[in-house]
Amino acid sequence: MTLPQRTALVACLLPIITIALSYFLTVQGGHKPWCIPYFEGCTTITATGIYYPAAYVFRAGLISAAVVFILWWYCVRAWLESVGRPEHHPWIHRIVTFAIIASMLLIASIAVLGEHMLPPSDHRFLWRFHTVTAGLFFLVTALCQIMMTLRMRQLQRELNIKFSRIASKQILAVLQLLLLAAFVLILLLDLKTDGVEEIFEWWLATFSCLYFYTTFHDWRDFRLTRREKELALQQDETLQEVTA
Amino acid sequence: MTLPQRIALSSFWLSHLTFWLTLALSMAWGVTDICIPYLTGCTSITATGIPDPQAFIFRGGLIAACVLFIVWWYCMQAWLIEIAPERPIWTVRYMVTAGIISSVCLIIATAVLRPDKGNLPWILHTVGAALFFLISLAVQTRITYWLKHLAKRGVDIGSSLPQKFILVYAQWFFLGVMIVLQVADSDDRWKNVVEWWMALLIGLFYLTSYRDWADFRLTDTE
Repeated sequence: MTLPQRTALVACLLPIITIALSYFLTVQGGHKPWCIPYFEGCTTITATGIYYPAAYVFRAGLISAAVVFILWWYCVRAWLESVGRPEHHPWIHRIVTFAIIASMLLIASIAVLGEHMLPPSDHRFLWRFHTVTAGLFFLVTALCQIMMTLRMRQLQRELNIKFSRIASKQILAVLQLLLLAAFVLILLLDLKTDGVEEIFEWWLATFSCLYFYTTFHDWRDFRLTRREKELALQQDETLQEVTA
Repeated sequence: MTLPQRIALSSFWLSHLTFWLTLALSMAWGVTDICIPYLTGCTSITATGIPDPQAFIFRGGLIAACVLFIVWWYCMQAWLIEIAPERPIWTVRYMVTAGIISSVCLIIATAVLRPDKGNLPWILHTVGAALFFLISLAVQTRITYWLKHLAKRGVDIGSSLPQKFILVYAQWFFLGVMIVLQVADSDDRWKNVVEWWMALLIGLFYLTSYRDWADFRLTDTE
């Protein structure tokens, strides 16, 4: 497994495992009911990171995951630049910069969570801060992922990517956009929704994580470091010698 | 500036700006007296990361810095493999694993901090932080001696070896002092002084690679 592949895997699994473990601990502590939040919307992702000891796992896992997201975006930049089209570089740099800022917002959003935020009515500023920063993370990350997909389509031949792999990214990107649009509509029209927002939140986070995973197969032959490239070349030469 | 250089810089500055900012806020809001903890030990690093809102900055900055430490160890391994004519000894090859373990220990120690001190899992925090200091020191010492070994064989290892030795010896000195203080059940102030210096020395060790990595490129696109 190459370094970029490991990054893609960790960027997908670390947040999913963290959230699942936090939810399990929150339920065990009797703070939230046992359910399938993807369908029942019985709790928000944020709520799984409020109560101790779930909050410890939540903040440790998600703040670390945010830094892994930054590394993942760095891999994206190196990968898209490896095609050697300098005219695309400023565009790619801008996307990656925005995505890195979004990941930093996620760190800020998670760092404020804990039981000190209870009761919510007494800590409106912290809740608003968390909601705005988390919302911006999802919005900017989704937009950057959509932009990245567009650029991949343009570079499909040079990057040697199958159409199905780009299609999976497009589907995930569009689903994220639809969920975000639904969120904005609910907010603007002040609709009374019972659990719908929570369901959307769980799916949005999952789609975002799955998007990180989609590059796992794309990066099978992409080596981030020079050392990795040298090792791959050596392996190829050995294989050729054996075959000969 | 190369990517490894950025990692070396940010490993030090992110962790220490976090410490200094939370310390400054603690002083500004009267949580602690105005002082220089490196000299007077008026407060511990942990204490600056307990009350809100300093805790938000503390956990956000330090947990993120821990992941950067892991990347730093990866860069160090890649650099050693690139410059050295021989395969590194197994203790050096496993330094990334050790670096990950030490960083995870610090992540745990940081994540469990909470404003209500009475409910804080102190044992978990103390063991996590202590393991971070011990494992980091052990791996940094091993690397320093491995670099010395390479230098003797004529490998260009950069100019930071003397600084690395000073930093590592100073850490061992402070570790010895800490053991004596613990055995003697001394005043917390002295332990705080040692804690601040140990953290500074570990951070400076990461920073010393900045100059060495001026010509080291981790990726081809740099």
